[in-house]
Amino acid sequence: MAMAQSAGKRFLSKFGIYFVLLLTSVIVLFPFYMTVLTAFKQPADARNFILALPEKWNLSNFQQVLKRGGYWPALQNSTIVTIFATIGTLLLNTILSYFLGRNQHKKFFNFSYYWFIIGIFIPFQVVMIPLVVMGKTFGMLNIPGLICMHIALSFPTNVFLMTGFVKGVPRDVDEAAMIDGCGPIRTFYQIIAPMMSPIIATALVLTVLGVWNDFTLPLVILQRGEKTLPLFIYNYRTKYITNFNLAFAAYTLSMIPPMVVYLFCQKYIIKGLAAGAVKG
Amino acid sequence: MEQAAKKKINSWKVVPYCVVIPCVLIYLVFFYIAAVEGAVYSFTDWNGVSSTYNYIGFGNYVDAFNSEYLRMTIRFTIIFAVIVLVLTNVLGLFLAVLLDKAIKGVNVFRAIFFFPAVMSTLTIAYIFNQIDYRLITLLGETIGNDVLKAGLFASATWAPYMVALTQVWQSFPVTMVIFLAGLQGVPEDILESARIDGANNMQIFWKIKIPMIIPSIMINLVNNTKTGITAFDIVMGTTAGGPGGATYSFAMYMYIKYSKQEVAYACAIAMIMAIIFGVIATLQIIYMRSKEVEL
Repeated sequence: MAMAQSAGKRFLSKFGIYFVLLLTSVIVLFPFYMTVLTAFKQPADARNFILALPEKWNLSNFQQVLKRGGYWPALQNSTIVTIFATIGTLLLNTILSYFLGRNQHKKFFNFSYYWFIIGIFIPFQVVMIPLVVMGKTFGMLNIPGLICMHIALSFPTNVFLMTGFVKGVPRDVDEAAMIDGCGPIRTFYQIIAPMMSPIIATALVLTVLGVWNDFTLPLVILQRGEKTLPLFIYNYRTKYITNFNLAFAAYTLSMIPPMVVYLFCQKYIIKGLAAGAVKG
Repeated sequence: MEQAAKKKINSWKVVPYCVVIPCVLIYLVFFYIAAVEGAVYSFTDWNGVSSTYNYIGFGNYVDAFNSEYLRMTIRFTIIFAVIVLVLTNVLGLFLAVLLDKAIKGVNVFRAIFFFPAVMSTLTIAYIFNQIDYRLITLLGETIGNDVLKAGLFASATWAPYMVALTQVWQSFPVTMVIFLAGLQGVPEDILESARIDGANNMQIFWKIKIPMIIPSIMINLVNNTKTGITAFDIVMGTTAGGPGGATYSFAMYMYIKYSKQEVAYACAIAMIMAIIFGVIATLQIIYMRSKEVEL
């Protein structure tokens, strides 16, 4: 009797869990469903019920968006900025955090650690306008300048995550390397960096998502007509606000690159984000 | 030979400085000097273009605190930040607990739930704006409700809540994954021994799991507080600050002032926001640190 009762209860709780999970899935997927659907419709079509399937699936909205231009250059800029900013961020922050984590008993390194960490508590907006002024002075209001600023602003989060992780890597590893006559740089690249791979994966995911989707920094820095994808969408919106179907086609186009990457690397992205996030 | 070995040992002393000092300097230039400049501008009347400016003391701050818009900004930020902070964390933790159970299809659900985190906030905001404009208005017409008919983002009463919910929709996945990682890191033997001692699921959750995922909670609290107080993209995409300033976030208000060339005033708003965020984040960390358990 008691067994049957608990089995029934378990069934109910399992049913409840699936219900909640399915409901959440619907809420998460619905906006995407509507976006893609509307992108395939014609304005005449769209006057019908908004959630109905299009009468005819056609690509003309996409063709028009592409014909009006701006998408490919924006995609190219976003790709370049993301790749170089990510490489720079990871190269600098890994070795920096290694030395910070290993030398925290020394005053200078301890001070430097907090020097970077305090940045977490100061919002970007505080430096936004001065960065534009500085960018104007040094000729950095362009793509390379944007990359540099992304890298320079990457220290706080990454130092926080990576230094915490480095402290968990046993010290005897590098002491053994040191006794064997291995220099610090080689020790780092050959021994420590591979051991940091979980936290590097986390930083990689956070940096790629952060840089790719960033809107504010390119909005104020890129003043010479260059655009990244978020800026393309912003511009498209202000220019062609009247045609919903074209707007949705543009949104869909801007979602395709991250979606494709996500579909193929989903497991690694979520695992990567989780791997070091908590230990850090 | 001996000299070479000595050189190696020396390099262990010197190289760390060679790496750390340049990074400290880069951050000094791009962050601290910039931040000080920002603070200095906030005490001037600079318009961002002219080559000279005058110091006007706390003039911008006095103006800001006398302005109707700053009051609206603070009102919006409180509504927005509280909803984002509470709902994102509660929802994230709740879903993480569900996904932590050994049931079929967990990986599929996890993959679906993470979707919004991959998209740019701006795109998501535009899409929700369109859902409101096309679908909510339709619903309003069907059931004859005037508020819905005009669209919720167009209602000064409802817009702040809707913007906040849109943000929650985008922020919960990362929060969930970080909680999930924390939950999965709780050692199985501790849970096992608690069960043997007769603890029920509720006790295990509140007395063991929660204290053990304090690092995850801390990251999520600070992260979502930052999202709540410094919101920009989400506001720009859904309402652009409207209707009538009802959804001015600090960053939105600041950007509007910046694009009207009231640069000094914009800097003052940024400073006010920074102080509010700094105080709240520090309090959170001090509080959470006191709750942390060492294993």
